[in-house]
Amino acid sequence: MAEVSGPIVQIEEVAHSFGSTVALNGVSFEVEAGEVLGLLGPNGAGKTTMINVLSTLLVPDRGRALVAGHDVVAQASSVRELIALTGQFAALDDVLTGRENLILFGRLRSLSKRHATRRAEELLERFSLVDAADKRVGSYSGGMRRRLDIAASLVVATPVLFLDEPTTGLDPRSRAELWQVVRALRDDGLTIILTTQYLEEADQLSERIVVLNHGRVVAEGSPDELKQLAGGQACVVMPVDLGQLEECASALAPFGTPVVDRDIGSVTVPDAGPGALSSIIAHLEGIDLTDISLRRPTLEEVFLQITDLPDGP
Amino acid sequence: MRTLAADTLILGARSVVRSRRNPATVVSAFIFPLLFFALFFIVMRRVMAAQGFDYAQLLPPTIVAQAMLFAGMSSAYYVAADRLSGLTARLRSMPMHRAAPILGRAVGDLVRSFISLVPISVVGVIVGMRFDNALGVVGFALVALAFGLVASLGMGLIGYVASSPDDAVSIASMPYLPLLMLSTGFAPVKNFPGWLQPFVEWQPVTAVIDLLRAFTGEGDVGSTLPVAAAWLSGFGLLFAALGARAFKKAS
Ligand SMILES: Nc1ncnc2c1ncn2[C@@H]1O[C@H](COP(=O)(O)OP(=O)(O)O)[C@@H](O)[C@H]1O
Ligand SMILES: [Mg+2]
Repeated sequence: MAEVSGPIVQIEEVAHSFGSTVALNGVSFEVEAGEVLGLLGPNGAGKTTMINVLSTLLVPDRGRALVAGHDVVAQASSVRELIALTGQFAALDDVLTGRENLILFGRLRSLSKRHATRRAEELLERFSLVDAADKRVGSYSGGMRRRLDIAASLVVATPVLFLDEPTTGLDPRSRAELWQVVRALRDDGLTIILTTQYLEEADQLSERIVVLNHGRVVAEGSPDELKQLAGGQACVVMPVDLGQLEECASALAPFGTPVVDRDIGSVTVPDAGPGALSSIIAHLEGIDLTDISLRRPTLEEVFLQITDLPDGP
Repeated sequence: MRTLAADTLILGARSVVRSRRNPATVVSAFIFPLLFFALFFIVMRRVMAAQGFDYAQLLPPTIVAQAMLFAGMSSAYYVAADRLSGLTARLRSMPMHRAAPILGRAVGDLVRSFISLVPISVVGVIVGMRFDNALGVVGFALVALAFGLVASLGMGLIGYVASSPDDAVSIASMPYLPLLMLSTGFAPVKNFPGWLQPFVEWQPVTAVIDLLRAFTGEGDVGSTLPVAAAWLSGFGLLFAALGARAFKKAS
């Protein structure tokens, strides 16, 4: 990645507890301008608490966080000019229509009435809400609410956007629509911090992932780097003759514990270790193969492995 | 300051739209005070007349005070509802004056207060209430609305601490009855037990009711205005400051 303007969000050793519950336990990471960062973690990991600190809603017990160089506690009002928050639960007025909600937030962001109305129109179109624009938000589906909720964060252009679990509770189709929305925002050059419990989502949408568990950063990197963290690679072997599956399995035994899948016709060694491929091929002499491959473990496998550790590395 | 005024009006307009879409709010603002008026008037008029009081003159200010307190209770409800829906959190993440939400709420409630004030005054006049002069009418309306504003600010604070909107209303109803009953609204100060009399005589609801009555010729505006004005401006500023603080810390 080209070095442009340095980190726009800096988080240093942020810690926060609710009574005896430690929600954040010394979290540090940075986000580059224009980057989409996925904050990934299971329920209760501290994602929302982190977002709340960044969006000036919560003063952390320790540590500090900066947005474009402004401290989120000491310079909260400067930070608020730079950010927009779409929280975990849609924060809209159910009694107002979609259009009225957008105009309301536009007006509160100091747009003139005319300007706010025009902006609302643009956003309704962009988020495919024109048909529902004059219906009360209380009658919207989950996906529509979510889209409107994000639209409400975009009434004026702020450089940084926080999306807290934008797709939780949505059906697969609405989720796919929302992914499109986030990709379009990324292409607009917004810096986005997006929290999610879904690996696939972090993998799909973000350039970099910070994995949070029990209030700590337990892993950080690009989706590919995270997959490598799981250590070795899996080796998958497919013989031409399914009758030779057992023979393959015993030939591969020195490299790990082979798993035979008769339906697919494959033998897999889950953790073959680096550089194992050539010696595996040597061990399989005399067996005709349709395929032999090394694959990265899935992010799912990595995630489970990382978050299983109670306190991180 | 410009953004405080602007944001207050924008949020005030929003709560007016909300109330307009909830016919029950409008109807209750209109009907409830009239119902209380009718019941008290029918039940108490002769008792009061026997004691030498003109109830048509004394009752409307009490009903007005009651309606304003009652309207304020909805503020507790809506502040709590916004907090729990996450709307307050969104507003908190936005650059706006921290007092704008509670002030917006209270300013929006003025419309509701007005909807209550008009029928009470009209029926009051029909049954025999008389204003001193045109200035009396204006003073009566302004003081009533100012009281509505302060009541809404104070009750709104409850919305920031209650665990649910319904809970907020329950809490808000607690000060409502004692403040109203332990005032000169329903009985003169001398009818209360001695230890209560100082409270009854000096508490804000008494000050407001006494001033409203003065505008109808029952009492002296010059002596009641300073007390009521001090209470209203003092509590108004205090509640607005506490409201801004509560918004800042709302979770
Ligand atoms: N207001 C609160 N009061 C008490 N505990 C809280 C509060 N908010 C969060 N927590 C606790 O802090 C931890 C982190 O919560 P949260 O940041 O919401 O996690 P996530 O968003 O990753 O699901 C959890 O154990 C949660 O129960
Ligand atoms: Mg959360």
